[in-house]
Amino acid sequence: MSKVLIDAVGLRKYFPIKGGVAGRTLGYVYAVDDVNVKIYKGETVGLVGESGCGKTTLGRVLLDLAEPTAGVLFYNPEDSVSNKVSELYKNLKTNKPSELKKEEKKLVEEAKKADVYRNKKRNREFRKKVQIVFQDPVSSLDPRMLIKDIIAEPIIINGVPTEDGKRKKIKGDELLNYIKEMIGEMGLNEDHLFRFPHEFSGGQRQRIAIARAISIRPEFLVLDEPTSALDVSVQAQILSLLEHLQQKYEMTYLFITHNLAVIRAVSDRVIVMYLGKVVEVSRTDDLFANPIHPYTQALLSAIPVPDPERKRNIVVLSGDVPSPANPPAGCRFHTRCRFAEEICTKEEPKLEEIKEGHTAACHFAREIISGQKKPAEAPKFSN
Amino acid sequence: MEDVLVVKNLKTQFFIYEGVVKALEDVSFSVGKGEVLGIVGETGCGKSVTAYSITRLIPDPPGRVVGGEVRLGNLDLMRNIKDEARFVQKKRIKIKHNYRVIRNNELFFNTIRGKYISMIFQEPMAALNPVYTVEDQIAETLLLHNRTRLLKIMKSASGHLSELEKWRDGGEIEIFDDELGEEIDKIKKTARGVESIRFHQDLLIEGANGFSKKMQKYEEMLKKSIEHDELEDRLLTDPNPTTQQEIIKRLAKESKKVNLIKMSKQMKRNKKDPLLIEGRRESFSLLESVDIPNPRGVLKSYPHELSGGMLQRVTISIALANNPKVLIADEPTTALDVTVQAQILKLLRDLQDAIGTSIILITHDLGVIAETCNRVAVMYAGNIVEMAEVKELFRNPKHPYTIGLLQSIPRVDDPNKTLKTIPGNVPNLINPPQGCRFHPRCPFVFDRCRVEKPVSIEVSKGHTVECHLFSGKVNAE
Amino acid sequence: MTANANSASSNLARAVRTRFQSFAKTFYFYTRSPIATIGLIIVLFYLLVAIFGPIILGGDPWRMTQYLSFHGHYIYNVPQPPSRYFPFGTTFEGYDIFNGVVKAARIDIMVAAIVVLSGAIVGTFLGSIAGYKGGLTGEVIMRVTDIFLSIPSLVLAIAFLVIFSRTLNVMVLALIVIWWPTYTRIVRGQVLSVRELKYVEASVAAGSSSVRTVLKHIIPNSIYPIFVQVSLDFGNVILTMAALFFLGVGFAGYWTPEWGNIISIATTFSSGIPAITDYWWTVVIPALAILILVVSLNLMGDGLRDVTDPRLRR
Repeated sequence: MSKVLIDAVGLRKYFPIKGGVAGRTLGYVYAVDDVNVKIYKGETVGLVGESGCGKTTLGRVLLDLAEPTAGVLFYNPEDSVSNKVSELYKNLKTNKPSELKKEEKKLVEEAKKADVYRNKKRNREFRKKVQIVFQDPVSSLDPRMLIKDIIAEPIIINGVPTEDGKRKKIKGDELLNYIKEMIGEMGLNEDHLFRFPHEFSGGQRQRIAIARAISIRPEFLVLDEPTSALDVSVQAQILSLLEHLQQKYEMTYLFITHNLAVIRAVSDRVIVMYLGKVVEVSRTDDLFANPIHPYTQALLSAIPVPDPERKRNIVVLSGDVPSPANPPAGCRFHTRCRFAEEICTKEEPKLEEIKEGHTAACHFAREIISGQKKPAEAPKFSN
Repeated sequence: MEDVLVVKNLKTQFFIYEGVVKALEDVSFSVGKGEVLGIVGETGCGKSVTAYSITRLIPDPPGRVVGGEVRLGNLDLMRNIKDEARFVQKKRIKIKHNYRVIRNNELFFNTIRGKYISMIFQEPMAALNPVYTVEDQIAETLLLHNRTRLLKIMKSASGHLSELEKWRDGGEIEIFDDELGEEIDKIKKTARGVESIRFHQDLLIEGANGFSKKMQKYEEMLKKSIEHDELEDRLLTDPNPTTQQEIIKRLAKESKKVNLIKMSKQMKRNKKDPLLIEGRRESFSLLESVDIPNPRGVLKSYPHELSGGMLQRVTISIALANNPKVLIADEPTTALDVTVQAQILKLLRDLQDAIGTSIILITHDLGVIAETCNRVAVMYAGNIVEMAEVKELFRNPKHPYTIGLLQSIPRVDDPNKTLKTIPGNVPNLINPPQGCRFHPRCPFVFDRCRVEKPVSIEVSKGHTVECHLFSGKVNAE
Repeated sequence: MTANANSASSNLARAVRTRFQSFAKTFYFYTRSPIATIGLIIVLFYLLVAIFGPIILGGDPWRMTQYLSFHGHYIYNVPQPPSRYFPFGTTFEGYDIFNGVVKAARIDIMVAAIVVLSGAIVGTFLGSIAGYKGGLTGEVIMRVTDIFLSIPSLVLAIAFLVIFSRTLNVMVLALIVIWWPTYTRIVRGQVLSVRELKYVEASVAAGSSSVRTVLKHIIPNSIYPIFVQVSLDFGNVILTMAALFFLGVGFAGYWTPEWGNIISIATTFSSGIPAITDYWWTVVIPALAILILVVSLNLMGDGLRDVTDPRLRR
């Protein structure tokens, strides 16, 4: 397996709900709750889930665009440290320094040095290596700027990498030529540089947004629903463009989407999220062939397939996703799950490796895949 | 199959600063009784404009229907609007006369929308009014269009008050041979649990009491509303356009008199109003029919208190409240999650089986089409390029655009499929390409495509294509 | 080298052309409204008068011309009706109203421009800080703004003039103090909505500093309502200034060419005299000058608001 590029441990992001007289905090929206993510160099990881499951927030936290409530993030970590620290953080019962053992204290210190969130120098480096492409091609480009200025902005701030690994600031004609080359690669032409965003179609705007993101040659690119606002024919164009760019510039992708068909087409591994938690992580083929978690099963069966002659048995989930401000106790899926038992309402399942390279967070994972456990007609604990 | 709605050569344009957007060039299709017709296409292909043109919801300015027919029964819904367009084009603007024509058209169309043709929108949150409860909003369309039925049930109930009371107190009830009988039959079949039946019984009795107190007034109201209904029926069945115009004028005059705000205020003051009570009972049973858990609580809630899926169920119940002849669903599941989408599509299919309304389902998702529709129309740049039975279309697509579209969808069930793309972009409809509008992106393009607009050709039974490849004069290359 | 220079200049030209096209479109939408266009024309006429009027008239542009006698007649304290020699007549103390009204255009428009623009700049600065930074800083700025907004503006200005001195500079300052809070509020509201847009986040993701983000993205996208407000407030400043003069707290000297002052002269001196209706031109003409300008400015502002409203840009 190749090298780890991103290792996030114990990420949490709670949004306070303000209200009352003096803006008191009334509660929290648990958007991302104790999530561990490992992303390897050169791969495409799909992050999938329904709206409100926290996938976009996770993407933003991974890029440090939103400050996490808790957690550490290692970028390009050395194996020895990251593994140890990950282990430590996973098993850590307390956060109080006084209660830590000596070894643990040392490790925590080491972690702080390597942590992107806390170490400013690392953070600055990190920013130059990561970029993001947003879902909405309308609001992601500044309407009052020319296309050339939009693409130039990250280059002016960060410079471009040179062959000796440093960064060089460029301007004037050199910058313009660089942008021209860039835009050519995106399938647009020079004329387009001197126009405003509103003159372009959705697909073209998304190409511009991608050009802006990869103009500084990032190593890690978060694609936040890059094609869900686009038509299928344009979606196919954008997906193949992204694939081509990934090979050319050796980028690692985190592909966030709610569309499982797209995930299947592009990604090597898939992370499934439900209500702020990771419920299943697996290689793509394996996930689609043998989904383990009951939620993943329902999700897979709910996708409409463009084939009228295929009869599917849809697992129609009853009810809606509960509010992330008030998630159910125990397993968060138990209110809609047809396999739920007493234990699911009380104890939160841990993410365990069920078979090689396939982890799931379900109390009955093994029973479900072996077919020992049969689903009930309707969920027992519906809300 | 009997055609419920026939659209012929519909043409809609938008007049904006940059020029004239030819949004619909020439759209023709028909919807059979009890059929689900899917309209599929990319953004800007005119699928929503088609829906809005049929229901006359195109904002004017800048948009206008400039030609074509939409036939509902014997009535051409676009006739008057075309007259308006002609007035404007000839610059023969007589303000007073035109104003009257336009106002009459608008007023009479209020009787069509929501009763004969109703619509579901993409954003359920935006489609409901945030300051009224769900109950108010469902009851509104019932009270607007279905007063006859509500009053008939109430009248019958007030005649059978003692039997109803016996039923409430646990006795059996025989089924009457009228609207009330049908209702009781329906309640017995569909109501969920004892509590729900109890709710129906209470409201029926309460309403009947209210009715018998002011018998004369409501009898009068019933008579008027029956007259009104007959007028509407004649409008759709009468083949003579002049008579239709007369009826339109009368309907417009009547609907001008209906002051909704005043009416609802009066009713609110009179809590015992049988119409209001019956409206609530109907709303309740509608909510039950769209599988909403706890319908009694939902009746009293405001739109922001419900989730997207629930709201879409509410809008569906509003749209189906008056058993419309045609239901237009404009991207009903696009704003929803896949698991909720599955619920809503299943609900739509079930309801369609139960009621038999024709549905026009507009979507960009071929998966949704494959699972829900009987027939599909594929739109591209303001034209229907291909139309066929759903199985036929997916098995045997003919038009190059349809083929490209089907090949560019990523499939969950087929991992090894490589995505093919349609090169280029959707054309600008201010200056659309000459000839076939698809020719700049078409892999099979030849000279004729660049000059001549293809006409619709039937390649097999019920399968039509607008493409020169199938016109027989040129062999497909 | 020359080729490079050429390409650079042509690139600049292309950029300028694109910007101009976008402006031309906006202007087209503006001129579609005849009322707004009339407003614009009248405002432009006032501007021409303000710039060239005093030059053509000659004499001291900061002082109205006074006639103690005319053709041997003593006219010092008797207003003369409009005539061949005095197109708008004279007022008490022998001041020529035409002379005053023309010269006043310059002072009034200049003061209004200074006040409104400074208010807008201060407001934009504070509003964007309050909106973008938020937190305690934002809270403090907004509460101070609220305090200023809660004091009646005229009273505040009068207090200012009375405490300090009654000079032109103090009056300008007093008016700025009245005017900045409105802009702060408007800008903050705009910034709050623009801040959430994705291109701002994209800029942050590209490593842009907060100052850069605010200057490059947030202010250019939230400034349009300010233009509208400026054009509407322009008239209000002139009205307020006239009101201050009318109340007698304007700066000293009857000679000041200011529309409010000209009215004030008439009302002051006519208090003992039977009826101001005998000398209607001393009040009506300067009042008309104010009225026409303020109404035109409002029409112009409405037109501007319409073209910046994206719903109407079709």
